Amino acid sequence: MTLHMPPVLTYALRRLIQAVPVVILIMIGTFLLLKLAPGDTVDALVGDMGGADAAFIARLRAEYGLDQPVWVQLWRYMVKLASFDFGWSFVYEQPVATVLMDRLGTTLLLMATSLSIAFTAGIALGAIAARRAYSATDNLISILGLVFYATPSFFLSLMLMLVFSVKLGWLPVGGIKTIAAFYTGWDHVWDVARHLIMPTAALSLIYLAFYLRLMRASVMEVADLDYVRTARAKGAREGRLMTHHIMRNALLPVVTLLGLQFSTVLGGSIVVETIFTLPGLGQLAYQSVVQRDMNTLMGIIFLCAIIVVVVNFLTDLLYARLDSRIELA
Amino acid sequence: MTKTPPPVLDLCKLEISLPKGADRPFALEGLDLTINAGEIVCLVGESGSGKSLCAGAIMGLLPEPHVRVTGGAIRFMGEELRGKSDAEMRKLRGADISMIFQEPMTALNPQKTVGWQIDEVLRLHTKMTKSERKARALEMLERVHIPDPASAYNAYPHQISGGQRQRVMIAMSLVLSPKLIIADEPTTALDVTTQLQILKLIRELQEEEGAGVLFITHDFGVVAEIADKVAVLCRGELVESGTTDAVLNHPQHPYTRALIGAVPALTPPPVKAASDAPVVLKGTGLKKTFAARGGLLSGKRKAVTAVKDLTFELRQGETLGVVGESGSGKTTVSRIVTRLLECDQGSVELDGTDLLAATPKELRALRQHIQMVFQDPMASLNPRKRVVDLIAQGPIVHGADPKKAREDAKKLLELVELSPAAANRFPHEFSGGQRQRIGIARALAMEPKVIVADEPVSALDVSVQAQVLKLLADLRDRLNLSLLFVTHDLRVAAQLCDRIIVMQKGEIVEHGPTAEVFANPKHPYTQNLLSSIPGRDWTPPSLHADVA
Amino acid sequence: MTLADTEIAPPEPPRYVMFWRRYKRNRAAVLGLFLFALVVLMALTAGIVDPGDPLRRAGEPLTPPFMNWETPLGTDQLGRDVLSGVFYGARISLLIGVAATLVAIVIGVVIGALAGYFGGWVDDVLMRITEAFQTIPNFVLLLTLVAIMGSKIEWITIAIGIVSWTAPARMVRAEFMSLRHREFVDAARNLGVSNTSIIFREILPNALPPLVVYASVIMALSILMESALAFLALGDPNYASWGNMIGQGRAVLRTAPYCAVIPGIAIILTVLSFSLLGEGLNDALNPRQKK
Repeated sequence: MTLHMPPVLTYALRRLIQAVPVVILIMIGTFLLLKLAPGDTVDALVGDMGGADAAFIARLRAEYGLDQPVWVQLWRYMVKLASFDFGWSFVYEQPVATVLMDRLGTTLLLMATSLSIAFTAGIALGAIAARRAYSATDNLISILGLVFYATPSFFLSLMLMLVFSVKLGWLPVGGIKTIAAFYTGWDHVWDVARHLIMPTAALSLIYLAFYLRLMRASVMEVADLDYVRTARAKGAREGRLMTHHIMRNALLPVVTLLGLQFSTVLGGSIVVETIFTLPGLGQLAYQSVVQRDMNTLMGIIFLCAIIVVVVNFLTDLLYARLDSRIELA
Repeated sequence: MTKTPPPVLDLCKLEISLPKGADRPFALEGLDLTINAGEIVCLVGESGSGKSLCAGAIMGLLPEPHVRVTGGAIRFMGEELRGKSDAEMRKLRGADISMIFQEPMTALNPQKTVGWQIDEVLRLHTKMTKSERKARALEMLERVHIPDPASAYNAYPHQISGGQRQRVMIAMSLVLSPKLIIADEPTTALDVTTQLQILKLIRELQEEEGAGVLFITHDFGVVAEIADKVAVLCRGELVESGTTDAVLNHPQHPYTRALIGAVPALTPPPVKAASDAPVVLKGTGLKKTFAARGGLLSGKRKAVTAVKDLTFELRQGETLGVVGESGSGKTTVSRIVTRLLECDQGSVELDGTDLLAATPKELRALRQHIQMVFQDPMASLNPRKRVVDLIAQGPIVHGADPKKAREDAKKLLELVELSPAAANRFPHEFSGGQRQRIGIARALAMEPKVIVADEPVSALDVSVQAQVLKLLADLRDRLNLSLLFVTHDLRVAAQLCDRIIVMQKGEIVEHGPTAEVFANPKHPYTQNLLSSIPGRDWTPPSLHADVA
Repeated sequence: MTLADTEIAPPEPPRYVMFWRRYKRNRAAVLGLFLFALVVLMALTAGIVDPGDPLRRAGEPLTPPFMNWETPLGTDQLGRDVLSGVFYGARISLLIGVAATLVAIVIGVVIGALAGYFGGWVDDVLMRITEAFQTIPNFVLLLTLVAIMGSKIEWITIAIGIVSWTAPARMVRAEFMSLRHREFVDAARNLGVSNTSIIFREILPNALPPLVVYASVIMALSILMESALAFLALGDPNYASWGNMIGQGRAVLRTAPYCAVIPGIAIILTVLSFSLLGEGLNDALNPRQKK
């Protein structure tokens, strides 16, 4: 087998193939959760119709394959998931996939903005704190980091709301856009941006604290390594040490966590989206729990898992790009 | 009228203070040292003697404010360096004073190419154009005899070998023809044959450039090989200095005498008459291949053969040395014969029973007959166990009465010359040599038929090394132990082993009585190894009178 | 000047003395310990401060703080005493924090130890499962488990444990992978010590210090998760919980912000105390050579 592919492609393909068993496990997991949940599709359907006789229910069960052995059901379920068919939402009276796709954009926008802010500001502040270790600047940054790290996202959201909406009246309390304003063009963009400021701030401040602490520790560790001493012995000044010798190596563990952390941030969006009534996946997840809409909930789990797998894959590529020790071939 | 130029480096009553809570107030106290152009001065001392901090002080790279120069003068080309600003020191560093570090593995930035890192020195200190700099870097790589300078220029550090990395370090420090080169244990991490090449290279380039070299080392063999002058440090104090001949062959100070007396001489024990003692350990046709871990699409990596077709015999009361450089498979041998590593093929007969064919249950019973002394005295003792429990653990596992086993453990401590009063302490409260003694006591507690020692003294200072070796030899003779002794150090092998096996790339290239192999090596590899021993032409004077 | 190597250094003070010496060097960690002690004290004295049910009506609704002695921190819109809510809330937070952490650590240690010690296919299988758990956003999984199992406090605790075990598992695995190649493990094997003994008696005690440090992080995260659940009104309604108080306080945020702010500060200080405690433990248990 001598396929001649560019090394990056081979590497990418290898990483993707490694994700396959994980995705299969998640499929099995969601299936088990569905089985554990009280009531099945037919119960929901019958409830939706307001009751039916036993013979009809039995026929429905057969139609949905619920009378088949578990293995067969699992196989069918996995085939459906693989084609992004998540079943029917009895709450929204729509296919789950349609409901999810409606909501996906908002969540991705929120994720992308808050994570990029958290990541860039976090590593910048962390690096500054580490270079001025044990100074007043470092103490201030570290204390703020610790406090934000300890603050629950919902409490931070409420406090932002209290200050900027209730007291100052600067920002809207919730929603993704002003209802019945029908803005178009740049006005629309500005309107959405204003609505996203507080949720983004709430999410990013907390994860910023996380990256900050990690980056500070990482920079301090790398700054002690032998090759930094070598560079000093060459006559390099501190600024140069930082940009050429410390930063790139110190970033590696932080980038690894960027991927791992993504799923946590996605979870955190549930609370923030619910508070700010943003029509995203997080709010949908909360509503599905309250309304026991299991199909939608499983759809969210699976979709989130796919997003996390994709993000992890992207960070892997970024990591490989950053670390010359990884042989791509 | 000729004016003599000032010495390259002149240290005068140099004093470096240590932070509170250190084992002594000063790392260096009143160090006087002069290096002239074209001279190599060796600063010798054991670990903790303050020799590396001396280098840091000259470079202005001490971890201030905890450790700093508190007295004396550092004159470079007649100019005082103390009190120079950061910017002034930066101009000197890398250009006029440069440094070569010990660990070639970690001293280069893993994310930058070799060429970039040499280029950086030129960029920092000269106004050369890009192409001039590249030409200069390539020329330098050529001068340090790197096989293919153009491809080395574009390689990352992890893509070249340890010896080559040290050559790159040397190229980097010499690229601007510095007047003073500080080399901090530059060959300690290298194999013996590579070490000699690097020493020769430093000598060669230094002569071409006429630079002064401060060479920091703990190894008197290296001193004999390279030094013009020697200064000996003991706990921060200069105890003796002079020409190499004077210090090595006629040491005056008792500390120097003790240190030199501890250097194992290269004179192996006389050949014993062929022993007819029974064979206690016999390896036949041993083979071990490390399969590269791979999977779907993970690319093809070659399996590494660590040991191929190894056969040997160890007789009762005899010491068999396994000698080789890193990658020769010698450590794998020690792990296979104790079955800490599963072997692919072959058999290991321990007193006639095949260890490799034993079931897990039989194996655990058999283990008491073959014990091991490990390389790293820090890592080989569980840090969370008391010494007495460490020593008694084996007998207790094999069914001894715990109370009696602990009593015996205390007796064993006495046997290895440690106070039984220390039995209830934890390993970190002991020095390296003491920990190795505890390791030996643990092995002896099982009353084994064979002891496998894997580089048991390579992590120790030379004076401690001598004492531990002496203890091993004494115990061997007193208890009639059979030893399989793995080492990279031919001097150590010469001291202790009756017979040796020389290994290269997993194969035995030569074996025989130590004295015969040393006197008349047959295989070219053995010849190369023996002729690479640093200071092989120097025989330490016999000074046994005052070795403690 | 002697070169003899057999002289033994004077004995060190006992371990706990060394531990405390290293711990108190970090002043923030001492503050953390103080805060932690305060929270524990609040949890222990809740029944003395207010012997009644913290969820009963204790005074006029929406009394601001510092107005009368009966309800020093004021009351919420249902007339419930905020101070006693904070004290009883400490009980629930600590209880769930400790219990959920235990669940997470036990699962994590078993999986991490097996994967790290045996390696090979055992490691492969266990790590894929761990990755699958890590891939699902843990708060989404937590909500799902609560939706399936219900909001009883025991189930919530177990559910928090189930979504938190992956990080300790990875950590234990990494520790085991590095420790199993250490020479003292080979030494024990060479003495004929069995696998179970090596895992539990040789390796695990050495993997414990980082695990203890990490437990404080999980504790903090568990408390945050429990409070978020309660905030979303998915917690156990039979117990006073800080998150729940904030959730209720949201309705009166405009007129009586103290109803949300006071329990919010309680959460921040508790979580902060665990973070600081963790740092102090790290300094004390994993001393590194400091210059």
